[in-house]
Amino acid sequence: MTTTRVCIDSSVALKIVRHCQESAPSIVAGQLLGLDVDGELRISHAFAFPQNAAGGNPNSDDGLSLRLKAVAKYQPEMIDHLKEVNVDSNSVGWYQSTVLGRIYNASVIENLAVFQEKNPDSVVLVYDVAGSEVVSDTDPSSTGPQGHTTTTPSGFNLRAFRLSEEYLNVRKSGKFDTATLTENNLTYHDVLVELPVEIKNSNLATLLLYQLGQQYPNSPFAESSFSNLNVSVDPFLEKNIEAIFDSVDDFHYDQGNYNYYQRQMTREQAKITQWQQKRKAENAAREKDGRPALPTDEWKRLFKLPTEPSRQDNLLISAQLNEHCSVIEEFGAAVNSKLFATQGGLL
Amino acid sequence: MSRFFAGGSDSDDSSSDEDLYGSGSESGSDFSQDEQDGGDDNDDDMSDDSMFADDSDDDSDDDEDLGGKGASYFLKSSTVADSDDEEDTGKKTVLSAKDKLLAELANCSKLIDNGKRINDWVLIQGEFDKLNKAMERFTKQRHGLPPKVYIQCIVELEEFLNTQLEDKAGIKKMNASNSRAFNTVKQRVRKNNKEYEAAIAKYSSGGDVAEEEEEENKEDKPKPRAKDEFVLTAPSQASNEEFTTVGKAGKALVSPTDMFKTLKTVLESRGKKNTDREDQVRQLENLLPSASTVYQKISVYTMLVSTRLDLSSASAALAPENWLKVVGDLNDLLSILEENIDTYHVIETAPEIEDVEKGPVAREDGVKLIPGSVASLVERVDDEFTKALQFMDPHTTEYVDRLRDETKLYQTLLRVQMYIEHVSDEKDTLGLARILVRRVDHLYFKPNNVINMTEQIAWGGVKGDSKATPRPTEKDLTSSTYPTTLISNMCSVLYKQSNTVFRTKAMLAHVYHYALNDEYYKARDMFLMSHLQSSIASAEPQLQVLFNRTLVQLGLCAFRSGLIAEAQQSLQEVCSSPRLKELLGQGLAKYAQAGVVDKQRVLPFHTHINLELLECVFLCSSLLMEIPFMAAHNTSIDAKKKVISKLFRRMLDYHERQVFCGPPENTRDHIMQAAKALQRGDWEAARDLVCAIKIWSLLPNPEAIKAMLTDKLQIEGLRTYLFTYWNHYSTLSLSTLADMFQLPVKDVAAIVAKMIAQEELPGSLDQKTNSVVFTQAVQQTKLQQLAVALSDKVIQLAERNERLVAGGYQFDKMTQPQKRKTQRAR
Repeated sequence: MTTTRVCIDSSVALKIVRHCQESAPSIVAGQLLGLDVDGELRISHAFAFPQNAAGGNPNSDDGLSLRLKAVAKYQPEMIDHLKEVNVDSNSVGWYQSTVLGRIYNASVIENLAVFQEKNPDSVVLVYDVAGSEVVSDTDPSSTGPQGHTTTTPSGFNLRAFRLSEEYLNVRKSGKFDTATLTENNLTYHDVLVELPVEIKNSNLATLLLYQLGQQYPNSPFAESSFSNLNVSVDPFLEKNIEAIFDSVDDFHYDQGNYNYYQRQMTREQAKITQWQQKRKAENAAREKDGRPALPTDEWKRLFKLPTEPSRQDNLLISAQLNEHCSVIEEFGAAVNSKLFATQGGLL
Repeated sequence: MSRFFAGGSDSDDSSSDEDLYGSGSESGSDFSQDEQDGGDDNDDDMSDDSMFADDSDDDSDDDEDLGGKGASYFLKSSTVADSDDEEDTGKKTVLSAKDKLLAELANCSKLIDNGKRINDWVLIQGEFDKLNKAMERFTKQRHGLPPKVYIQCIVELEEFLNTQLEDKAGIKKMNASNSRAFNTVKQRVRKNNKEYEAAIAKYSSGGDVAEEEEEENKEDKPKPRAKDEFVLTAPSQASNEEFTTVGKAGKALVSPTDMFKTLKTVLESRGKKNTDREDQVRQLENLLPSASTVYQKISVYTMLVSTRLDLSSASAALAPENWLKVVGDLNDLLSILEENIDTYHVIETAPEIEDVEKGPVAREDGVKLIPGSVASLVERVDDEFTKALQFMDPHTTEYVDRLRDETKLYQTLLRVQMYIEHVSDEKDTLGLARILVRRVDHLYFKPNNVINMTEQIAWGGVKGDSKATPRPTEKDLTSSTYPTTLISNMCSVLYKQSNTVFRTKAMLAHVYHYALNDEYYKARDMFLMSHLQSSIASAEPQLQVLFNRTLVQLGLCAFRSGLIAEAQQSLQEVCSSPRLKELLGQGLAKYAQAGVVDKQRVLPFHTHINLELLECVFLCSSLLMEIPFMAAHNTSIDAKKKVISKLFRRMLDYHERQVFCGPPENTRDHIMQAAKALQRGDWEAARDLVCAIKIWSLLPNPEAIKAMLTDKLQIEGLRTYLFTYWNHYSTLSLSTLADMFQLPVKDVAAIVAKMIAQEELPGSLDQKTNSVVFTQAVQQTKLQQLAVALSDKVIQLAERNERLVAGGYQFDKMTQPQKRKTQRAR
């Protein structure tokens, strides 16, 4: 049974954030280690992959390739060392930074598939550098009284993803054509499944934070924060729209391909129908003359139907677009109320 | 060994080629004396117009020999002793080679028979191939009809094949390779036998086709050519006694018979390798004094001119001395022709002369027609001249000296033209057109006074008048309208030609001439009405070059007339191309392997259009167009996509990226700095920079051009200023603007009104205060712009999706609602 929740140790979360933030805008990645306990994936340790190997170009869409030689050597060695000092040495996925939620690209999917093959519980933890910047002055580790909090897209943006069953099934079949997609009921909505992420502090740390909040009511440790009043809208939206531009262009391109395929297909099918009718007429004539009928399924040999272009790109681009749109939607919902508030002088 | 003997026998082609070198000089001298078969053959050759056509040099020599004359002549000569020896050896080779081939054929056929017996088709295939190869060699060497052995073999083979084909079981039994060979042979035999159908028919009708021939040939050793088609009968005595006549100067006068013989020899050796052309020229020159009748003179001169022209080669032009001699000869010929214009006509359409020595028979009106073409001669002279200029360094005095000869050439052209006009039919204007095209070629790119001068010199040395281009009067030659009339006259003849090349050339030259003389609208209208732009892409390169030249000249003309937008448009395509030089025929592609043909396309230097001036004009026009345009569009989101001239933008970008800009050095620097100044609204600096360009002095009226440019800079400066800075103003007084750009207030008002009318500027003119009131529109934020752009994109996307759903076609609700249902869901 696979896990349904992800629980991160706060120190690990901070480590990830620090690594990603500091190396922005280049994309970085690292290894996650942990255990699964009662349907919960507990991430207890993380270490960064070597920068030169994992350091992708932020402008390139390809993301980064984790299966480089350097990483392949570094990773097991590091795990061995950690094992010696009694750290969980069970690989449970990897984390990586991203900009504006651009995670739907072939390399991420590919890597994730490889990880999940080894360990079905593997996840990818995505830390969105740009998404977190907007409200970066929000305390990322503000915790509720219980010591647990779920992260939100705005603000501290750490999310866990795993490939869906449907996707894996399609992948197994090796064909990304429309029929397979329909058969497996795979849409762009469920290429990746998001898992809820919890950040867990040790009880002592929770206690300390609580105490500090009591002692200094105006400090950042307190519950209230003025940063919630930030109404800067444009920069974030601009970036997102620009990202959408890119995706839309990609989508156009992909659609063009598919369009072409469709035209070819109709043309071929028209030819086949023509041929079949001709054959039928011929057979009718032969029947009259008392000769044996010619086979009617010869068209399979005579005509070659064009192969359908892979729908994987389309899936990913659609998912990416969806992602962007939902980010804007959520952001808009939050900002809208703020704007109304400022207008009505409610604060 | 002389190739003339070997010609029939050599089994090895390459060796015969080598032999040629040895035999060249010998045969050359021998021919002059040893020819003695009379008029019949001379006849053919004289009428043969091939002297004007391109003789194909590369024809295999064997073929020529088989034509037979050269060889036969030589064989009959008894004067040269050693040639007899050669004759013998030559014949031996003939036999052995032929015999060898025959033996080979026989051997092959025997092997094929063997193969047939054991049904070994692989063997048969191999042998059949060998047989055919041998046969091929046999035919190549022209031993005559296919030998009996061969015919017999292929006929039998076919019969055998047919019997085999009936034996279906037998075929099935064959193994794979054997049956494959069988099929191949079957196909080849059928194909092959078709070629020898006649011979096979003869063979099967019982006659021994080539057998008799063979036998006879063998018996006929002393006269191996007896069976030849081109046999020449009655070899006469050597004509040594003819050399007794001695002229005044003590030179031997050549008898008419010998003269024509020499002419014939020269004619025959034309286009062949290893002929000593200089020697031939000398021979012909020697003939001149002995030519007594008009007919003889004409014959010798025509031959002399073309032989002399042959001295040039593809890669080198005729030497100037030789060229001048050719022109001299040609003029002499023309003088003779002009003197005897009532009795002799040299014309291309003339019938062949029956008796070469006696000359042509007179027509009813007493005119004797001689086949030949003066037009072709003068065309070749012209070509040689162009070639000489092409190969010369244009920056030397020699080039200029050489250029002076053009007047002579032009005069000759004029004479030829008048002669042709006189001689040829009214209706048949082709010859006239050929000359006129040459004349137009010499004139169209020249300014009026140069044309007048050329004409004056040309007509000065010529008597008579021409219908197509009437003799100009004194007054004409000083007037500025004469050249235009002249070109129009010439072109009007050319327009009537059925050949499109003439028409196109005339049209382009005509337009070019108009453009050169600042008649922009006339030139443009003609250019557009010709619809050449749609067909020029398929024309020959020279015409394309002329087209480009005309287009560019049109652009320059527009610029001189102050029509900046038109100039920019015309020049845009050609000037933006990295292959500008190639397009204008003024240079070769940079890294391409330039062949001789490519080099010939390059125009001689004096016809070139100055490229620097061209660039300067183009950049200036681009500057005046692009800068206001950039200012007007710099805010919009897709500013980068809207570009008038990419080349100019690129240069401007490059200029902007420079860390340090020194004072302008070349034309481009000047223009780029002027562009920057204009962008700031500093039109005076821009004017100074543009006017400082030295190359304007190449234009006919530099001061007027500068004044025009200043004017344009003021206007475009004003527009640029308004575009750039309007949003900083709420109102702007027209008089201030007029002061800033030193334009009359009325003009400023007009410009501003136009801008407002075209919605380039948001605002209105206030008549009372005489100022512009700007309406400050709410500026879109970047986010809003993005959102608008996105909505556009998404609409496109939606449309496309709809199409996808409709199955790849534009979805149309009205007509194909059912289609949608049939398509699968995406």
